[in-house]
Amino acid sequence: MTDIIQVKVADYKVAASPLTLISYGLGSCVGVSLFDEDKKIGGLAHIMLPKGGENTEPKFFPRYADTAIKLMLSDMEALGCDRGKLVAKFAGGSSMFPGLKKDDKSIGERNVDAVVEIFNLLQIPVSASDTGGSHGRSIRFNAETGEMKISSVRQETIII
Amino acid sequence: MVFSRLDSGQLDALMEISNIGVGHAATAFSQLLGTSVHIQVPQVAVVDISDVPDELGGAERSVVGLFLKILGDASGNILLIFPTESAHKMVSLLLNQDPDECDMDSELAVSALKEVGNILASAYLSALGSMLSLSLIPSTPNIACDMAGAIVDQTLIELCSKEDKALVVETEFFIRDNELKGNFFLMPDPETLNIILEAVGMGTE
Repeated sequence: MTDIIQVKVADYKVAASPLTLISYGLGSCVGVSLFDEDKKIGGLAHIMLPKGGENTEPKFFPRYADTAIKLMLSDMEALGCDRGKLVAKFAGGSSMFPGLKKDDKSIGERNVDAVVEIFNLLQIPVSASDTGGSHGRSIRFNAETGEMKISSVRQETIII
Repeated sequence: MVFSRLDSGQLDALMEISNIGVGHAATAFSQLLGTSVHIQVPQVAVVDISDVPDELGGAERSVVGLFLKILGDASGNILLIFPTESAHKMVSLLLNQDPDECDMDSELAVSALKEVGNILASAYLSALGSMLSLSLIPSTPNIACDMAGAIVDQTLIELCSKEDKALVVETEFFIRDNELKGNFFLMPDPETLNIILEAVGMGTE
């Protein structure tokens, strides 16, 4: 059993092989991973909201897709990762209570849009994702292989 | 009003009014189920938003969650969490069906669970409202059977656009030696808290 590090809601963690990063019970939140295959270093962020406004306090950065991903990226670069070699994956962004949808898009869908947008901006390729639906997900991201294992209560476990 | 600035007197006041509120909710619940319902003295805690899923018994725990918004003079969320087995027992009690034969995905089961949410939240809010002279109404209940963490996401997202802490009022109720149990959570919005505190004469701002 490899050691695990839990990534709580509105937080992110960076770890090297053989560690596994875990986020439990994501609903509309999105779990975003970055992986450097050469260095065997991975990061996992558990983001809650799409974007912080201009007045976002730094302590709130890990909550938002744009700021959390940038923070995680700079932490990984500080550990020697090469931005050009990073590959991203993400999962989550479901609508747990479809009846609550106020606008055209649920908060889960807006989170996913923000993640896609920020990776386009940073020019980091996304190799796989599993988003949407109305079920919760737990994510286990392996910093050795870059595999993201996604489990849920009523769906089959998948690996992306 | 920032949650982390609450003093112990204010937390006590919140606990006391919640105690009366959940007392009423438990009475209504026991009438609905036709059996006695025990409740724990509510706990009031100010916790980091990141720690709320743990406070609910672990983010990955499979539960039935009922989520209602508080409308009227104050705003916030009420969350009822039942372990899946408890929800199952409760539905079979309410529908007078054999637990083995009762289909949790049926429209009737979902509607029975929503009704539980409705009755508990209404009893709680009407007790709180009449005590504080505030008009408090629950929204229609939303239901999800899934991981506790995924269910609470929605509530946290609304809170965290302006706060890094959540005020959680929690109580556990159970019947017949834990045969059935559940948790009741109240998470008032930050701006609402002062309305409640002022109504009990403990306002600060």
